Amino acid sequence: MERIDQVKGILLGVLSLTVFFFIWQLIAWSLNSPFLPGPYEVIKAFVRISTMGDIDGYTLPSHSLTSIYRVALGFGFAGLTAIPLGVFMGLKSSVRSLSTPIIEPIRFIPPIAWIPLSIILLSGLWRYIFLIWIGAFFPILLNTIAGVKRTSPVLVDMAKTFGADSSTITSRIVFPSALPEIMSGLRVGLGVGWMCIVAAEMIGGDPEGLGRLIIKYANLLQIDVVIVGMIAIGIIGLVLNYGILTVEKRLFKWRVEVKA
Amino acid sequence: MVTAIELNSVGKSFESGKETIEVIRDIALSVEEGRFVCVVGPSGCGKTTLLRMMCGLLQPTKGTVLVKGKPPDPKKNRFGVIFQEDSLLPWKTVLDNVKFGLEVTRNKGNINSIAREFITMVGLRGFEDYYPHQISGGMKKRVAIARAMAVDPEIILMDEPFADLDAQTRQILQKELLGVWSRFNKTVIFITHNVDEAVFLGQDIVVLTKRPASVKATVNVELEYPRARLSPPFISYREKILKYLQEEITEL
Repeated sequence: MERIDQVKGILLGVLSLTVFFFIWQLIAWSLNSPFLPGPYEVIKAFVRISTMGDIDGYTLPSHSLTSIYRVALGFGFAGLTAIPLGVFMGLKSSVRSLSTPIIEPIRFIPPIAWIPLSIILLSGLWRYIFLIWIGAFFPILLNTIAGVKRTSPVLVDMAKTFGADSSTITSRIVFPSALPEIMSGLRVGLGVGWMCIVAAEMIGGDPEGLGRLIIKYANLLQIDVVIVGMIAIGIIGLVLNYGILTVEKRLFKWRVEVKA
Repeated sequence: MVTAIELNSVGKSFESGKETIEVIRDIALSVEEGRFVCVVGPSGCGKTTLLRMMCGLLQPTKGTVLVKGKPPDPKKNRFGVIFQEDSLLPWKTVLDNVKFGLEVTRNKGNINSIAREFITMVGLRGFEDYYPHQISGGMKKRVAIARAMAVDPEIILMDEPFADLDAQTRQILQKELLGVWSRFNKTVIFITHNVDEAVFLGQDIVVLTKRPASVKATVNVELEYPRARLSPPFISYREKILKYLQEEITEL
């Protein structure tokens, strides 16, 4: 039965993609505009950019790797700052009260709004890191706080009765029990960080990167390549998300799986 | 006889906003080493608070709690506490859960083999690599007992440990607990609201009043183990304690 369901799922997926491409082609035909390429033109552009490279000679894989590298740095910094701060804020309500008035408004400022300030204050790689950090930081922070606060008090009491000190309780009870939430925060954070790549590369100045590719070809009014860049961002985001989901499933076997 | 736990006119109140809630009033109790003492009382009377003061999780507002002559401190004493709720670490296997207590108390010796020995003692050999969500409620309690016993505790404190279990599992675990107790001869403080359980297990039964709790009566159960639940003396002990409790409940 499960096998049949799987095959059915795959077939339905293929069907919906086919319909999507068909409608896209139909719209492109009916508009007949040089600025709206159909799927066929985009595939041609995809092959061209992948093999021969863009006007500066960078191929699609090298654009992708550069973007992934930048996001990895920004995301890494976000994890290194948000997780310890989140654990601390989750444990101490005084720290929470102190930081909430600062953190809560900041988290609603979109990354694009930070562009002017980051141009003034930062240079080089730090601009990318900062803009991606801003995007990835808050999901990780909020999930970490929520996970820490949800620690079962009886587990903490249990450790205390064995004479555990507070650092042991944090590292051996609070952190592992918050880990599933932290991981889902990391997954969301990576997704948001990845979506900040276009904003980050708008100000980076380097000719390489998927966001830069989109901006370059938007200025040249070559929309087929713009769409290639968009699709690449979408697919890489999907793969990253799926990667973390797989790790989560492996890591948290102890969580009772709820079957829908 | 050496005194394991001594409570001298212990009182405990909690601040809740402007109100002060008095939970325990003037409890005096002395438990000799190796005794099995059951504490019964109306629900919500402060039994858990009492137990938490005995292991140093809470400090009394009045009076003193002494464990072997000194105020209890989990960093110095070794307690084996078994909670009503599931207190196993869900991300650790049965073996690692039992090892947890040994690691935190910095037990010397081979932690692995000690843990395995106690898992075997509670009848869970072969389940070492299972996670808590893969075993039943009764098995989880056995793991908790193994974890508490493995640290070689000075005192075992149990807070309605079998309350969430079904009747059969409950009775099996009561028998097993008596087996473990007679083998290691530890002091046990066992909190319950179940009179049948108290008479089955306890050498002494301390009956508490309703809140603020104080000692209403102490009953010494002079019956041989294993006790027959249907024997006339067992039933008369039950009735005696039930009568004490009823007096407390009808006064509400």
